[in-house]
Amino acid sequence: MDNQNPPFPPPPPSGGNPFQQSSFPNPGPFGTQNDLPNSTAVLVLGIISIVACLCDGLPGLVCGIIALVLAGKANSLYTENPNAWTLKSYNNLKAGRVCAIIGTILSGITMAWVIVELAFFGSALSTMPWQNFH
Amino acid sequence: MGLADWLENHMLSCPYRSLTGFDCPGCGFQRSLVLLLRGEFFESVHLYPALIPILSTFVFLFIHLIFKFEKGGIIVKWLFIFSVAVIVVSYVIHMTHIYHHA
Repeated sequence: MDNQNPPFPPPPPSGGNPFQQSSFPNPGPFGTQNDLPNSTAVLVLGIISIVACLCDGLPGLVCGIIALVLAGKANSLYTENPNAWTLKSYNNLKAGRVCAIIGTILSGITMAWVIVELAFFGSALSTMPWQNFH
Repeated sequence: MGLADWLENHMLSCPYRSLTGFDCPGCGFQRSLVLLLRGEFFESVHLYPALIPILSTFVFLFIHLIFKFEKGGIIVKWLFIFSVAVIVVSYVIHMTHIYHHA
């Protein structure tokens, strides 16, 4: 595996000079800044979560939770090495996470309300009025 | 006209409304879209005010995903928050209106 490494300078040792970070920002594994993985997917899923929550809570809840999981993974990658990833994709990620949080909360409220309604109407339909006159 | 007619004949029914008889926060979206496609802008806004914020959010999202603006994600986020606010406020007004006039 050693001969496959590109001839880039080795990364600075960790715990060294703290001012080295600002003068020599640590490039990514390939020397350039990459987009965070799934940042656009988080944005798209976060926005779909609210539209899917409108009529029935379940699709919005699924989309929102998937978006939150992907956002958590990508956010941990970013906090490990912020200079390896583009700021644009991190902005996408943050925006998508906010959208996913709002969509998940509203979908959860909608779904809980639908369950309450189902329970209410189900009990109303299962006990017919004439059954109370035994 | 053809697209609006086709949409009007192929609307999805709302399970919440067919179960409870009350509108859900998304009810009116398709009727409002048909009205907007026919050019009746004010009737569309009056029927479902959140249609245009939602559509603009999606349109800007696709433009942003193609051209990758520097601050595009933040604009998408605020469009989304505005859409959600319009949905919630219009739904509360709608339901209180129904409640007082039932």
